[in-house]
Amino acid sequence: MFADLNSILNTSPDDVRQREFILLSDRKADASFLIHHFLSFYLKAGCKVCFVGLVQSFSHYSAVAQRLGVNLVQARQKGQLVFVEALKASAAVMFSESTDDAAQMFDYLRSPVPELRALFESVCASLIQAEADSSAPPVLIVDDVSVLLSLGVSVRAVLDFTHYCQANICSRLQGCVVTLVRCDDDDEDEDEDDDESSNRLLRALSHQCTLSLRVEGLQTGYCRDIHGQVEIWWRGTGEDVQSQRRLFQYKVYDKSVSFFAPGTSSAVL
Amino acid sequence: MLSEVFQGPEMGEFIIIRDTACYSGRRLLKYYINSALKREESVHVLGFDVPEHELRAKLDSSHLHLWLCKDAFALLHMDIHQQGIVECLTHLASTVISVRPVNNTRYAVATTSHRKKSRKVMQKEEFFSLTEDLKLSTEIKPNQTGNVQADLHTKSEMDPTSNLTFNLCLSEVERAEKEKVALPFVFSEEKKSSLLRPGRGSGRIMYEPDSNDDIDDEDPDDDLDV
Repeated sequence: MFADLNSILNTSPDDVRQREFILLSDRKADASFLIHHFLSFYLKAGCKVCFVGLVQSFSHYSAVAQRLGVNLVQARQKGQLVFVEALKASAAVMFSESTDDAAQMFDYLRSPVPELRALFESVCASLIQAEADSSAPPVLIVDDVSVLLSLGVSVRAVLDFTHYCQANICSRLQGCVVTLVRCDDDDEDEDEDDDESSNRLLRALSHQCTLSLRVEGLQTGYCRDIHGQVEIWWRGTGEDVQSQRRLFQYKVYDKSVSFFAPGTSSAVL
Repeated sequence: MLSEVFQGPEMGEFIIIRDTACYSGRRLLKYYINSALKREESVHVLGFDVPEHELRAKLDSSHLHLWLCKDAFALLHMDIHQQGIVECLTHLASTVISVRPVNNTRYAVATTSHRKKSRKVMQKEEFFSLTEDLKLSTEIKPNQTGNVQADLHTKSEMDPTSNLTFNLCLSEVERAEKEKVALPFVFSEEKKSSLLRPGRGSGRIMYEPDSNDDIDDEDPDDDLDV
């Protein structure tokens, strides 16, 4: 959890906003530090978290969370964290190795028209149980949905999944959803008509989300002191309407991230 | 024109609001729903995108959810559909409103094109903004930016003839004299008449035939009786 980001977003673990749909995206940069931020943030806030890890294994997230001061193993044993080992399970399904519960969740990968119904149902089931015995909102974190595209799921199916998640978790259970989308590096104009691109997924999700954090590499290339820029965009929901954008540059440290206005890096000034 | 879209006497309109991720057209849609509700018309909403409580917020909801189709309104996210589909839908509609944001202002631009029953097409570009309680204010065209730029131009434009070592300006007398001078090569009435009249002193061609002028190539000695 990064205190800097909390103050920018004007939240704290004691004051978790409900019904947030947070979209993280990156292009020519790595936004996974934001995933780790939100994971530790919601765990500290005492929310029940369902984490779908398609990119890394549990031990990786656990090691990073340890540095940020959150013990994932403990949280998992307490039942606060439901970790879906999607990385291992999807590989196992592909090679028809296992038939356990986790594998069934990813059964769609073998069907001719992959859809994410089973995944949605299991995610929902794990969060609905939580709702009964806690006051904090349930949270779903997906890292990251563009991996599903690579596994052969269509953009439409992914959008169905996120739409259902938003309807159920944000709207019905008053919870939050955090997803990460990684974009292709090529220009957006080129794949204007490409139906299956992550750019299209990103555009569609931008319409759905209430808060968007867009991480991009610097246009001028790699820099030792500035790792990239992040555009934070509050898109109004129905109630609070005015949308607002702010741009920051950031640098990731070992245990924290510093955000500063463009051009005001400590290395420059 | 934005505010008039929905108040015309014509029935059976189909109106599309097109937006992109940069600027949501939903508030404009809510404005139209609200104005329909204020006129005590019945509105039926098919909400695919946002939950009901969000849409209901700030609406006068007593008349919501009753069937009576007079006009159809649709919100369309242009950037997530293929171009062809967007254009097909656009052709179906009688009015298309495209909204897009303007840099760093609370105003947005709406381009409205309306097809009347008589097949006349009207197009208009407007700046608009919607307040929290869904009040619409419109402004015709980019007044501020245009004016500011014009002002800048006039200020920066100095008189270029002020600091010259020679005189570029003409006084009235000088101008009158200048206009009296006939320029060469200008074809005036006088010149024309003098050229057309065969004057006495004008040149004439005098020709006396010479025997050498008339040599026949086929009969150089002039002795054949052809």
